[in-house]
Amino acid sequence: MPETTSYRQSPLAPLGLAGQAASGLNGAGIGVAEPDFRVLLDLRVELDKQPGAQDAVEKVLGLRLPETANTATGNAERHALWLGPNEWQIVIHDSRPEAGREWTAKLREALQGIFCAVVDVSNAQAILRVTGPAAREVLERAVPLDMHAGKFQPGEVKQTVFGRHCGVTLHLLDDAPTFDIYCRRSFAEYVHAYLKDCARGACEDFAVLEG
Amino acid sequence: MLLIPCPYCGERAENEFSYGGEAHKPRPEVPEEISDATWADYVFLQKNTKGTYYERWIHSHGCRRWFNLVRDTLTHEIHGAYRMGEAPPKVDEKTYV
Repeated sequence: MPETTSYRQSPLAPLGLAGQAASGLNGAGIGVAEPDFRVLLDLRVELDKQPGAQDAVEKVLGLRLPETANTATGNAERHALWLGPNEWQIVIHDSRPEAGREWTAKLREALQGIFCAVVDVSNAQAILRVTGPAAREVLERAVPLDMHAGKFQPGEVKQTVFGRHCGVTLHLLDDAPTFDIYCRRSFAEYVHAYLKDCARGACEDFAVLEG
Repeated sequence: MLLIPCPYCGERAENEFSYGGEAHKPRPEVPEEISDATWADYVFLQKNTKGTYYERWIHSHGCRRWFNLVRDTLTHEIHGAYRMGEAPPKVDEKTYV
């Protein structure tokens, strides 16, 4: 297969985050990084009516879809985020331009005969990674969720409204805490600016980290 | 702000939701055979209860699912939420004057 030229650009590219990136927080309360491109697939299937779906997904991705609301399953390379009772977002850390098409085809093939929908939404969303001791406090200013450590724990996923009107998916990865924020790509700069504004009141410094 | 118990996601703040009006309002079986007045009644007229009210909501910034809510329109007390197609919870209905 001939090598494909990719013209894709991250929605955060105009901010030039990569040029400002530091390797660590250096005492800042919160750090924001722009991760590499990922494959994002939207999977819709009624698990109770399609009993073979879980096994088919596991065969391709090596993970089972979480059936508990507001949770995620997966490992460092792949995640399945719960979006609704019959909807999941599959996240695969594969930055090749053709990866989205390949994984969609693989998953569709495995799910053949099962009533479901697999859609590649990789290019529809922007990803921001937020980390640092003040991350919860900063995010608390932007979303109406209870961000207390007892109420939002690692492995949980919550969709909510960010700032005034922008829908985001928050995925808490660890106790640092590290959040992955997924938003529509046209809102990427808005989310970044709003975070920076929230950080002003919550902590001393706002760092830009390597993705 | 209301804290609305989404039957799928749990309790969330009101600004994640959008309102959908009166619940359990049967759509006319054969719309093309009824009069314009009856259709207008169905489309535009809703109960304006001051008290216990059954209404529809959508968790538009969350799981994007429709569900029903029983709410007191005067006190804003929420008596329960239930999925579409499920029977409403038994509630001590109140109407204020």
